[in-house]
Amino acid sequence: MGNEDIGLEYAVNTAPRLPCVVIVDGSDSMARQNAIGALNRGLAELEKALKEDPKTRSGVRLKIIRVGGGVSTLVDWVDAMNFEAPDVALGGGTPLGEAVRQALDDLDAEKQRLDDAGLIRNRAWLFIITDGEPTDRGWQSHADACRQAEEQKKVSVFCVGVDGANMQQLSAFSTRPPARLDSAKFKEFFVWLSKSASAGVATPPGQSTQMASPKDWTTD
Amino acid sequence: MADACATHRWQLAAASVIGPDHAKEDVGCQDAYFVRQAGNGIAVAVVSDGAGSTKSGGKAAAIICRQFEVLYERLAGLSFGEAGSAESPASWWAGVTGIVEDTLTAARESLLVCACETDVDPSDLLATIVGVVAHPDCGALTFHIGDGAATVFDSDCEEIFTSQPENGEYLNLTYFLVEEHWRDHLRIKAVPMPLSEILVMTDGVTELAYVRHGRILVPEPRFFRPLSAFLRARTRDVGEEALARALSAQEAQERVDDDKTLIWMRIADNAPAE
Repeated sequence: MGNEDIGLEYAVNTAPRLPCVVIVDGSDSMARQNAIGALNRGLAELEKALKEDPKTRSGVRLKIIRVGGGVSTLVDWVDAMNFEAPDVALGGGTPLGEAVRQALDDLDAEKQRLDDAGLIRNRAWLFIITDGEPTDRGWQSHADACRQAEEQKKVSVFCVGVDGANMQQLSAFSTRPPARLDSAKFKEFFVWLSKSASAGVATPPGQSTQMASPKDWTTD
Repeated sequence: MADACATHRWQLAAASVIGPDHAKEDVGCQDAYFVRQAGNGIAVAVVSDGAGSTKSGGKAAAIICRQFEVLYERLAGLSFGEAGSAESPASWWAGVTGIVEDTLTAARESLLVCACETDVDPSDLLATIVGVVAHPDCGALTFHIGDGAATVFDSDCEEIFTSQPENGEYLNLTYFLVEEHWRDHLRIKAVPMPLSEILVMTDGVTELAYVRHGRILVPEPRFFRPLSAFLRARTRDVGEEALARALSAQEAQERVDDDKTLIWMRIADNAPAE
């Protein structure tokens, strides 16, 4: 009698996943115009947008890597429904090459894990967001590897140059030209990212996604 | 004749709980449902999910369910032989199919009349519908427009048939009764005996009750089996109270923001009295 529970369990999320790595820049220069503050507010907006959309909530699998001094994992692989926006701290240079190498390695490992778990996955996305230029030696070889992975359709790469970023060097990482972002528009950028991911989740594996229009945030 | 003292041929339980989204917006639950059984063995179960950001979706869901109450009254008035007989299930399904289609047409008419009379745009009266008419001697007929799902199980709690959600090109789109081409998206399925249990639910519950293989929903045994075992061994009151709690549990509300409505029905053996 009384308040006995049924004792059922809810189904585990087996939605197809869109693996998505975002490299964020915590280097010293992000203090300019409080770009770092705008980035952190933007990440909070990303959390909200991903969780509000039922497709992205179950379908996006997210990892966030920070460059600033070294390279570190800020948020390890997580379903968007469980994503909690991190606080990106300030400090150091911009070893972007190494960050991209780690991102590609992490993507390979995660794809394997998803395959082993019997989950369907879409083509992975890599976002490289920086306001500077790569400061690590040999970054060009990592940029080459990144472009190659893209040509082999292992990953779609999106380079975003914030404020005074070196767009020329950023363009080495992808066949897609880098987009320019004013740090005042981080929030709009992350909302766009979430909307595009929503379309990406609905795209049959193997096909290209029609991304949302970036006009809200890019000055290009 | 025997109608007056007929025992219930079905066990029934249903619950509908508001989701966090609508609770926040203070618009009330936008799901509606109807479930009843008659002395002649007929059972009707229908859920409707009102869509959109206004209360009009919920109004549409309520109108649709009311029309199925009319369908129920019509079927409940049939004699035993007319209501269902193991000898002629095919003609039973044909008859019920016709009545269900008529009911959907009438429900849609009601939506359009409501739009006129209350100065609401018909395209705001968006609601999906999934339901079943069943008789223990003939089987079940499922009918479905849009998302949500219904599953028919055998006596071992194994899936016989699931009426899948239809989402169109993108997962967050679906189809609604009020639309002009609703007949193109009406899916009707006759499920013959033997069968044992039927569950009908709105899409607020499908994510919790099914796993996804691409676009196909497959029942999650760890959801359905305990549900069946619990409900079949309890009175309807106790069962419904526990069901409502399961649908409004914290984990459920965190996973899914939508309203959650579920109807369970099972051919009775030695059912406790309702």
